[in-house]
Amino acid sequence: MTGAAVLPDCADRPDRPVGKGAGGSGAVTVTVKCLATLAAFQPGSGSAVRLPATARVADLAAALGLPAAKITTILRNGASASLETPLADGDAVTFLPTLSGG
Amino acid sequence: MDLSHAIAARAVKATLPDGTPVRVLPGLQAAALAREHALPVREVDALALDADILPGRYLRNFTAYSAAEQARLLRATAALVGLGGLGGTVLEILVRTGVGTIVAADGDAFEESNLNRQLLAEDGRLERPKAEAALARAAAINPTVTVTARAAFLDAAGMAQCLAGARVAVDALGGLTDRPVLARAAADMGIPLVTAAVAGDTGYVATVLPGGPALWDILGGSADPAENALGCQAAGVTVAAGLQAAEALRILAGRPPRLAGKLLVADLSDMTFETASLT
Repeated sequence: MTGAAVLPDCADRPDRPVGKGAGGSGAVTVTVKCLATLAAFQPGSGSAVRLPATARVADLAAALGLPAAKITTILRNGASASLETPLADGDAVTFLPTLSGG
Repeated sequence: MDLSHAIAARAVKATLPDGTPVRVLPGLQAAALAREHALPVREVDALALDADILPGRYLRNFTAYSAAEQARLLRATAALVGLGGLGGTVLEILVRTGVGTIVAADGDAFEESNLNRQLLAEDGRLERPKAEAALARAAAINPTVTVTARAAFLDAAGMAQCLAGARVAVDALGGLTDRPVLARAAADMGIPLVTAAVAGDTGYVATVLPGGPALWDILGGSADPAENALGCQAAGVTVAAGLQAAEALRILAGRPPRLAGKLLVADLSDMTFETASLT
């Protein structure tokens, strides 16, 4: 996990509580996969994204500039998740659009 | 001589590559016995397996499948809805592996844009029914199993008819219109459903057992699915169909499914596979 993208709505905000596992920096680092038509929203620096410790999946999508309307399926750490799911340090999130080709 | 004795008399000794000694019933002998006893060849092969005699056609299925599992495959029925990119390859795998009865349907005809990925699509079959190609392909590979293929788009009643007696329903449809209808039919009839879909380099496979999660609440929703922008390519659709067939074969062989209530996402652009729970 190198080159974590530091996104604008991220870290170092004194109004955010300190998140767990982020070295007390008040941030969490998650890895993200944006698949199929959402690949254009994959961070250019790799898959790691730093977010405020209180971030939810919706904040991750917003940080990537990924409109919620484009997302059909969200997976987090091997389970189905929603935009409201809270994120923790080390989480792995996958965003999928609707796929129905056969 | 009764059939079981006749099978044993016509079996020959052979050795698997790992040195395991086996008895094998050659296909010509199985076909001759089937004619003599007015039975389908698949039933003669299943009877041979009951006596631990391996049909030559399926010799390399062993010992990954036990004789009892192979016999179970030969006596099982699979419903396969859709004979395009997914369905053509699923059919190929089920027929080669020795699923005894496959009831398939697709009302579509081949068009030129199918040629990039659909196993059953051939230059000489453009504008011909996919169901017709499926029957020809299955008969050319393995005439000892029973394949029916309706050239029809199925409504709810048609799907129920297709699924009757099946141990698994394979959703090889394209688009979102008919998939929930098939999922409901399978759930209503208590039949496990193995679904798959692809767009571009990405595909997924999921299994829903009766009473399982409402798949299309999680996977559906967009009126503009990704394949409209990305198309579907041969490698991705073949990977998805292979995974789908492997899961269907587990169920048909009497093994527990691996993806019940789960989604396996395969992405060939980054070569990753991820399995997630949908419950």
